[in-house]
Amino acid sequence: MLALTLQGIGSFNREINGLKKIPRRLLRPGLGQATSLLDRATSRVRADVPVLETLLSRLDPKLSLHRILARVVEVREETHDVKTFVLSPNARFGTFRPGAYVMVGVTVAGRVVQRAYSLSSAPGDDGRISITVKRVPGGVVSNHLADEIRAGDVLEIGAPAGQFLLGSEAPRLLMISAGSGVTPVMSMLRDLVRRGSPSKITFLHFARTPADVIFGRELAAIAERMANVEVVLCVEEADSSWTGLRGRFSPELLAAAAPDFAGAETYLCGPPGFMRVVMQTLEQSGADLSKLRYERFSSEFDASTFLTEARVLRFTRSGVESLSNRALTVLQEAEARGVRVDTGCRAGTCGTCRCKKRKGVVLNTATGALSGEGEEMIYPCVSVAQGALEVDL
Amino acid sequence: MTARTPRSEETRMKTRNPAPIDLDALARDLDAVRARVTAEIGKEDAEYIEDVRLAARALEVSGRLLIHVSLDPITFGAGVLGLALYKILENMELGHNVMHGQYDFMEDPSLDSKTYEWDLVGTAKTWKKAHNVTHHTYTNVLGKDDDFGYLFFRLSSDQAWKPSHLFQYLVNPLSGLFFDHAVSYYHARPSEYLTAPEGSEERRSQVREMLRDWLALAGKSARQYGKEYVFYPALAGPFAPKVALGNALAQGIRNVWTYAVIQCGHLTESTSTFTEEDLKGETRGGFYLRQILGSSNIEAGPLLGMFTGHLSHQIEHHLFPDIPARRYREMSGEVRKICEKHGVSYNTGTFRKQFASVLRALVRYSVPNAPSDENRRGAEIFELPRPKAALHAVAV
Repeated sequence: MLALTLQGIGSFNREINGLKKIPRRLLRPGLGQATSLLDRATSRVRADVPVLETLLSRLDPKLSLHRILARVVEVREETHDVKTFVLSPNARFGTFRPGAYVMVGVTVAGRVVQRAYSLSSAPGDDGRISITVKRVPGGVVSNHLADEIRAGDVLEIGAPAGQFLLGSEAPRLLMISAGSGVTPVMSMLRDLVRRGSPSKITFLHFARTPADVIFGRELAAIAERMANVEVVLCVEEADSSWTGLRGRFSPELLAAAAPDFAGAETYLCGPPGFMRVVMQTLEQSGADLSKLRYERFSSEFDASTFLTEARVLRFTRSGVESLSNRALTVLQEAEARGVRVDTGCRAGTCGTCRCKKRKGVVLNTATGALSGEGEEMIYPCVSVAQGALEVDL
Repeated sequence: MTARTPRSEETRMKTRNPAPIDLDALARDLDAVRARVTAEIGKEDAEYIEDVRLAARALEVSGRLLIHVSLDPITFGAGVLGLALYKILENMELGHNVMHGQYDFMEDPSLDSKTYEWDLVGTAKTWKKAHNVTHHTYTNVLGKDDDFGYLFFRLSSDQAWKPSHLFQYLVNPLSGLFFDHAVSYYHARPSEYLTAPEGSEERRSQVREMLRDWLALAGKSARQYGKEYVFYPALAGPFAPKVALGNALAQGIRNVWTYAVIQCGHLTESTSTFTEEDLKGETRGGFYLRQILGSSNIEAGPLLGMFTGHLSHQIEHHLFPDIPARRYREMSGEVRKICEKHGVSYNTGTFRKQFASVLRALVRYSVPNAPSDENRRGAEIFELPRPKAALHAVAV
């Protein structure tokens, strides 16, 4: 109730402020003054929001006026390096579409660090949601989650977001994933199964070894139970007990698993190299690319390719300068120099780290495009300076 | 009455160190304590300060409510006490410590030293300059540290005597009633701003800055007066005078309490004083030594400590002003041992003892012919080296 009131005041204020955009002659005299008075009057209420937040969190760590907080209700070991965290978010979470991701914040050494994780669960589920996290060697958040977070802990998460979402009903669906790229498509598959979708679904998943297959048991159970779902697992290395396919993705393998792939609604998620190969295959075999949806989840880039001579990177806002010929993205360079940057996906997708470049050319490692020389917005996480550079960080 | 040598001075004389003090070793030892505690700062400290803020707000709401509805002296008194405790917590444990940057690590805009504004007639901006920069850098340096006597009281024979000092022991406790105004205004005087030669461009910009600050101060004071003596009283309609009285009493209690605690921090008889000369060539160790010698602690438990903003640990605060104050208690054991190791006296005592010492000092130095106190000249006690290179450490 209180939250509603506060929100109400906030939006009323915003609306009145928005009126300022109306040409001045239309403004009734004194409205501007009234706005600022109202702003003054509500500032005390707004100043109390942090205090109320403390009060709510001491009553129940999950309560918040404006933040989405989620209690970890269960931690499941999926494989030797993958864990699923089942979360029970507070009422501010709302609902989501299969394939969406959320930002997950953890506090490491007193600082909040965020990463984007796809939801692996389907909507419904008693309001519970899951993220499935693979340990990234040296990864701050994934290792913190794996090592420190237990059932009962509370995490701050963002609202569900993303464009890689399950579309409307299609007769033929193809889902291709590799490694931890399985998480968003698993969410989609679980949703389709739960709703009893009549679509013909082929779920094609690649992993390094049988022990690396995430959700293996559940996928087998779904395949057995649902006549319209076919699960094809393929690993690079396996002993003789493995009954699935072996090897890496190839056009032949795709043709064998889903001969009618060209007309299928296709969802693709995996490491960049893998996605490149799959996309090339689809393109070369004349598949309908308008039916392809994909999501990048890591920016794997060969830094040495872009290594040029020493360059000056100037972070204008923090006043830090870095003379460097290291093969790092602008973000990595900033972090190495202690410049604080809010980040999310670190793959040029979510836009959390977006900042203004004052001058200099950057190469976007996600798209391979070179920027202009003047002012423009860039994504530091996928930008590599091509010479001297000034950014507002 | 001035012939009696207080016990604390005897102690100081005994701890005089015949061997020269190794300032670098002192700095190393204290830096090690700092590093250990800094590494531990995190969630606990964040939750602590959030809880303090919550408690303060709860005290304010209940205090104002009780004052508002009270029809008998007990309810009214409880309301006044609640409001006073809120003001004390807000000014000391929250305001003072947050503005030292102790909680900047949280990256919480509502507890950020750059943006925090406290519930006091003065603005955070001018106070931070006077306190964090001047007082914490030039601690107990006569002529540089205005907090040593607030330009009005004489607390060392090395300060020039004026007739106005004759009754300072009476004026001083009375001044405590208006401590908020003293703290807020005395460092906004023109001489603090106008240092450039008259007629220069710099001077003009100094004038502009001074006027800007004065305007901000006036605005802040007006808002504070408006809040305590117009807005809240008006809510009570015909009982407005009662509410105004309650608010005035609460602020009076806050003022006397903060005054008493803060006087005990530097103005007891056994704190040392320094001269500008002593700053030349001051090393980090020398800076630390000056902070220890120039400060005095109050023995206080956790609760009393909280209501002093942990200025009960003034020594630790002056050594580590940006470490969350709740940590000072646990650090004090180590700091004390380090002091013993290096033969530096660690001045602590009960609140009664320390405050009595301040009052004695006020009496002693109220007359021009008070005995000279070389015992209190920090540089002489330790025969500090004074190299020619004038590179003194500056508080961070």
